[in-house]
Amino acid sequence: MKKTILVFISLIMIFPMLIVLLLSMFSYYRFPLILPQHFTNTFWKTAVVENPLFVSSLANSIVLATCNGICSTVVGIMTARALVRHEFMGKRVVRMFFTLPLFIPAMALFLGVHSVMIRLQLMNHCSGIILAHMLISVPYGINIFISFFQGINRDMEDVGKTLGCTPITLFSRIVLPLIMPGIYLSFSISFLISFTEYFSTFLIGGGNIITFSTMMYPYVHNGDLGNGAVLGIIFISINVGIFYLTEYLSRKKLKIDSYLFE
Amino acid sequence: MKIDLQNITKQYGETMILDGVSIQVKQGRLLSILGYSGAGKTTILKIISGLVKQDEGRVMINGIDISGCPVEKRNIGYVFQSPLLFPHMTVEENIRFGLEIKKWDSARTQARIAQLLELLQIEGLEKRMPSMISGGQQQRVAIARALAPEPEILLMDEPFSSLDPTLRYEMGELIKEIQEKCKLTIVFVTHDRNESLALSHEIAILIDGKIAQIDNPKNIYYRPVNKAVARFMGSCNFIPGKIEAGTFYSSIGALKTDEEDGDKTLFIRPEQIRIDAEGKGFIIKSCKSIGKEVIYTIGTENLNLTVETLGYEIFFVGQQVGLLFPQDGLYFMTGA
Amino acid sequence: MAHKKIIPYLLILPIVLLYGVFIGGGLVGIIQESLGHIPILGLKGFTIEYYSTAISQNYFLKSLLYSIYIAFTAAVIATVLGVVIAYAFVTCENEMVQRVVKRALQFGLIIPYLYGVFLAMILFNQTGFFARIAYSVGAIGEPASFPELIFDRKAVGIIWVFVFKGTPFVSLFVMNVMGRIGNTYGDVAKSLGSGSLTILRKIYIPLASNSIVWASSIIFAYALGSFEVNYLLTSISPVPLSAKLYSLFIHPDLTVIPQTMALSVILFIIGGSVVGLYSVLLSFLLKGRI
Repeated sequence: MKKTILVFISLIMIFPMLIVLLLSMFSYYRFPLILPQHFTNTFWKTAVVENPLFVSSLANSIVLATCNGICSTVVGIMTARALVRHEFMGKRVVRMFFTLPLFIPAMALFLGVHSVMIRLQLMNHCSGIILAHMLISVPYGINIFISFFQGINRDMEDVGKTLGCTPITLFSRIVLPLIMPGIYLSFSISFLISFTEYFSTFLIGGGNIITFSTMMYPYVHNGDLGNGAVLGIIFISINVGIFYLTEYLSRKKLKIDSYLFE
Repeated sequence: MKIDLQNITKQYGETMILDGVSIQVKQGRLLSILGYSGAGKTTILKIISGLVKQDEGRVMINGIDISGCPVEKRNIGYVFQSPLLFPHMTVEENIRFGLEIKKWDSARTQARIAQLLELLQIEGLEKRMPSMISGGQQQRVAIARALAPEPEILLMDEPFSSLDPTLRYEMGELIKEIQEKCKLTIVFVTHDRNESLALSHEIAILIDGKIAQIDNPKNIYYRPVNKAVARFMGSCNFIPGKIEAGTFYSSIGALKTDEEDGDKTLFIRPEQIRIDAEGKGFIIKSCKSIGKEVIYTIGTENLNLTVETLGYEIFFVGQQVGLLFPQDGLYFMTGA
Repeated sequence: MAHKKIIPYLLILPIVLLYGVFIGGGLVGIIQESLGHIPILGLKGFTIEYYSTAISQNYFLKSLLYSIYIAFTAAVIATVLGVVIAYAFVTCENEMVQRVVKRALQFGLIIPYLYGVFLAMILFNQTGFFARIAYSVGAIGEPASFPELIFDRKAVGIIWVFVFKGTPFVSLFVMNVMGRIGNTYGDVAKSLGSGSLTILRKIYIPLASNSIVWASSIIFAYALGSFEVNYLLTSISPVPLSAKLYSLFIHPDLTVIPQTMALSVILFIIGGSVVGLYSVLLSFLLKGRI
């Protein structure tokens, strides 16, 4: 019973993408055909090869997402470290509010961010987009590292000190390797958030910085099935690739994990 | 004097954890600190190592005040309650870690690691990850790691409390052996009095943030300074009475002694008393067998004594018996 | 020792700056503009008339309620489905199935919302996949007789996207927590002989309630304030508040800016409060206390 439900759910999740896959390769889809017919590669040509924005938007997206991944991870580590290991004034406030951006309706949040960006003259700048994306990815990063730091026995760091570690060697030789899986995870989540984010990218980037999602928007808006399908498949394949890469990298560390959190 | 703690005071918030603690440990001796859990034993070790800073008092090592010296420069080995091996390193890398930090050259490092592997009897485990070896082996590796940079002082915080009893005994023996071989000065924290009695040259009893007594194991056991220490070291009997002209008078009768006159309390351990089947004057009130020993409560109308005998001497509840007290070496506490 | 005390403050400096400048500063910025103080447009001085204008528009209440309806429905469906899937996953003893399901859910999680809109169009359009199925089994005679599922007042399309994206999020998140609960208490519960549903209700849900509330509230907030889904799949009337806000925002007439900002402040504050209310209610429901 449970198995049937679970398998059924999986099919529901996967099935729309199967139709999309077909739509990207078959051009003839008149009502009431259930599945499209007439194999073609035109969509791949028009959406990828003949699309002047394809390469540049993809490159923009990857650069922005990578920067966001790095920045959010670093801020996540710093904040989580302070929350788990240090006492300071306002700790409760930080602990309560670090997830705030996720709970503010995105439109209102980003219209505010937009007004600040204008004042700081960060409109149409990559740095502005990265900062906006960080707002919605940092909370996830902090959450990840809070659980990682809590998983490291405080005494483990004391052991390092008694063996002669300075704070810097302690961090690089012991703490960093232990939170490595968290770094992969936080990086990939932040990467994906930035990569798939449409509204803030478009709002802050204006017409100037075209990313993969803003490039795809008109195709969705106009209901361009064939080209939209092609772009979507590429989009999602990249996401899946990132996801697998992360999982592969952190699986190598899995043995540590099970020891750490026992 | 190797380690000399002078008047150490430490407070966490409102709670006074250590209140004027002074401990001296001589070069090459093993001192254990014994106390109830939460008594601040670990805090003492952390202060010696520098992980925690005392509020007042001085930590002297070899006659030099090291209170201002950071942990990483002290070169004091520390073995924690759990092995806390670095999970991302193999056994060998764990042991090597401290040497790398101290920038030992590779030949010396190799030799030291080989020596430690042999000393701790963990040869063959070098390439294993910590998660792949047993708890006892993990603790051996932890000791090897702490010993690697050749510290002169080793601090051990209940290092065997997670091991099963046979393994504990074995590890205790190993520590004694290493201590003698390496001429280490060890401070060992435990709440297990048997472990402490078996291993230590000196024992310091920590009660309510103060050192109640610091002495050799025999004196701690048979000549405790007060009732709290006496009870901490095991079950015991206190018999109030009076000494007049070389004789102790109490409800158990008269005993010869050369102590001074006055109101005194006789302190005596259950196993120091023997039961005389032919005697009279005492009644067996209850009897509990714990394997090798039998514990009796034997009393008169207004006094109950705990007596331990070996299992083959069987007496039944209600039986009239006599008690035999040792003739010399009786220990009296002042007051009633 | 003084430098040690500074360390935590240095560590939280980036996040405080980030949030302070962009969330705090953003709120101040839009409040200022909503009060009619926009020097660049020659508007100076402060007034609350734009708020009364914004609120008195006849679409306002409708849009707000419509948005809340969409967010609430989507969040509740996604949460229920997500929790049930997570529970079925944790208690299902077939590793093969677990692997497949986890992959499928992860797959759902990484599909962009924008693309969710695309999928909704393909599936629910009057000439979409389901319409074709209905036609081929003879349920409908022509595309127009297939019920309008997207661009419709009931917002089936919008809700579907949020559920499609929200369910994997909730279930993956809750799955982690439930997995840990299962290791600790699962066998105890089973040995006490309670039925499958009772274990879910009495053990798993209360113990996982924090994460359920957290995940569910995020879905709720997202559905309330998302642009692309609401805007692309909306009906003509009523329009979700965020879509309405966007049409005002891109309005060529610059004099509507204060009103836009007033609406934005209202969405910020009311939206935030509604999310807060939602999570309080949900945790009350799950734990029986706040």
